[in-house]
Amino acid sequence: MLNFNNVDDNNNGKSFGGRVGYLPFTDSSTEIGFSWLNSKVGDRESDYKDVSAKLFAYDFTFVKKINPLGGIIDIRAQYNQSIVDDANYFEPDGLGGLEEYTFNNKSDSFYAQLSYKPTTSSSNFIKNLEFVGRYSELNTPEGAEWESNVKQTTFGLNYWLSWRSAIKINYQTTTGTGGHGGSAIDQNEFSIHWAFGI
Amino acid sequence: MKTFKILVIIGFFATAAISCSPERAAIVENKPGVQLWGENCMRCHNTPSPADFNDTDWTTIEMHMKIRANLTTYESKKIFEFIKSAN
Repeated sequence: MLNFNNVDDNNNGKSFGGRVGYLPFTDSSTEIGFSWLNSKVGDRESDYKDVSAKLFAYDFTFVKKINPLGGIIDIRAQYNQSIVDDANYFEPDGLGGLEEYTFNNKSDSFYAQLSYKPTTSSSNFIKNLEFVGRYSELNTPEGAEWESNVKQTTFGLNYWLSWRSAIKINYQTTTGTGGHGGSAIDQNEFSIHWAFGI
Repeated sequence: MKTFKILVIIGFFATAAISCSPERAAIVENKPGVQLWGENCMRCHNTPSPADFNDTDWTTIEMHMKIRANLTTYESKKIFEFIKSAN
């Protein structure tokens, strides 16, 4: 599993990556992008020293004031994929020994989000509202200890107190399966956040 | 599949050529600062009122956002001239 929280450099490998974005229209409303990162991820002088990971992402953004709709439409979507080289791993076999296993170490995730801000409303209260819907998926490798297939749907209502501060009310459902045993995940969450930029 | 790849490559170079055309550059150059402000800034964040900051602060913000938003010198000059005229 890729560990995105490690702060120590575990090998002498160098990462290489970047992003290319393209805005096809002169009003800058639409952007499509492709990004990637390639790196060796295994610990130095370990059995996994030659194991590499490749990360890819495709993204799409559309933000535009639509006069017939009386506000700003914001659509965002991204598809991510991580591919880690095949390797052999070991786990306790329950008899005091170790069992060797491998799996196809590919993960992918996806999200799409739509929001609408009725900015041309004559009401100061309504023009500060933002309606948001979001769907996302996470699929981790079959046979891995962290195997999961999770789908998440969120509906939100934001109220912008100022240009950089908002109260966010969300209802989120998470369904799917997770873990080696494939236990079911079924969670509902209601949350209220205060978000601000400084 | 080979035909698809060829079409993708042709499409990429065609759109790149259109994007770099003088006609497209002229469209952007003829936009007023208020239009460039609305189109560029709201792609990533809500747009503050011009009155939220003074001219000195806006000059600092201009240097910051020119880098963050990949604005050309021409675009940032027009956008921030408009903002300073309206605050």
